[in-house]
Amino acid sequence: MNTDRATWVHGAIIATILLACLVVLAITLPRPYINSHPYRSEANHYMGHEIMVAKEGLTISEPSAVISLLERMGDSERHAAVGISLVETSRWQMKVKVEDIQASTHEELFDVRHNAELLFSRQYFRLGSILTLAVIPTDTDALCYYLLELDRLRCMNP
Amino acid sequence: MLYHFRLKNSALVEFNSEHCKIIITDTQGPPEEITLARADSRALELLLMDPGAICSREDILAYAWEGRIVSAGSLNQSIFMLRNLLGDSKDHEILITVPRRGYRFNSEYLLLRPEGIETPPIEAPPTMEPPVAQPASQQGIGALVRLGYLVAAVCTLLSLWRLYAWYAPTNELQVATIRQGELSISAVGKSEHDVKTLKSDLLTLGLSEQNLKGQIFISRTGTRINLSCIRQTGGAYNVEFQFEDERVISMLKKCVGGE
Repeated sequence: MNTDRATWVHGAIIATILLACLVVLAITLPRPYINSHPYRSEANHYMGHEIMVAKEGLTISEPSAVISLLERMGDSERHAAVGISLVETSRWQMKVKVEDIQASTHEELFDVRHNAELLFSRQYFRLGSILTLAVIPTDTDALCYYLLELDRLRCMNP
Repeated sequence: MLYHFRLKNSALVEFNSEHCKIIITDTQGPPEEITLARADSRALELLLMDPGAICSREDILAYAWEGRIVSAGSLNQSIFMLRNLLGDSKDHEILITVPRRGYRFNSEYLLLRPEGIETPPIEAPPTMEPPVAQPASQQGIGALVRLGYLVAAVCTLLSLWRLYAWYAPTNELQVATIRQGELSISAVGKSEHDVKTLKSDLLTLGLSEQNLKGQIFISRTGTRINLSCIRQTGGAYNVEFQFEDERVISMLKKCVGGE
């Protein structure tokens, strides 16, 4: 009788611990993004009297993601697709690694002499580089993040 | 199976049901070993199996003389013999007769284990019953419990690590928010000093007079300003410009209002 009771007590303790683990898993399961869902955004870069219009897309399908970029400046266009892998994800941060870059041209559309800071930040975007996306809490479903290495702020629509 | 009980004169009795023997140990004199008739031994064993419980005459007859048909007098004789041996022939306090129901062993005389006096051990051949049956099952339960605790411990460590990783504060990004009516504007940056400076600059712009609505995030790197807005329609929009070139207010309007 005592053995049965002790077994039940042990079983109850173990079950409670495992249940707590499941609760932790459930709490930490939500991501700051919707998996396999395309996020889109538009951006205007004002450079003197010129405007570079950019359309961006981000689709995260764990454990990888794709950033698509279409830039237009005057009559010139440039498009690029960047393949990234997720290195680490937490509630407010994502670390990603650039795995692949496909671009229609490697020349920038803007005048690099007058927009040196933009050029420098973009040059960090190379194969193998690790980028940190610090997620900013918002009141909506939009995904807003700050790319720490590029000093680039972005909000994207789900 | 060994049973121990006390007699009315406080002598200790060790009853070995397998060998049909009782050893009576008194404080005076050497232990007395008595061999019982098999039927007497079986009758006593049945009564001791569940001390205090009433055993019917039929049950005792069936158990003590298993497979044989004997008269009720055989049982009376057996009980009589046992009472004589146990010094219980007068008042029947140890082997109690329950009228019209049977007999019971008075559990008050039973000892769970022999007290103090060492009784000479009866040589017993190895029994056929595996005495390890219960411990084996207990060992099985113990192993399961240990395995369960191990799994629970691993699970707990992983959960703690996951919780830490999930809620680890990100000190790399600083955010300072100004709320004015339906406008929320947040200065964002890597340095707390830069963010505070940017927030102070924003407060000097007189945003309350501009009737802006929505959520704006603003960062400044060198001379470049980066705006990210969530408009009231829910749409997101981003603007980058040189601080010297464009006025911040008009860009904010463009960002949240789509002008």
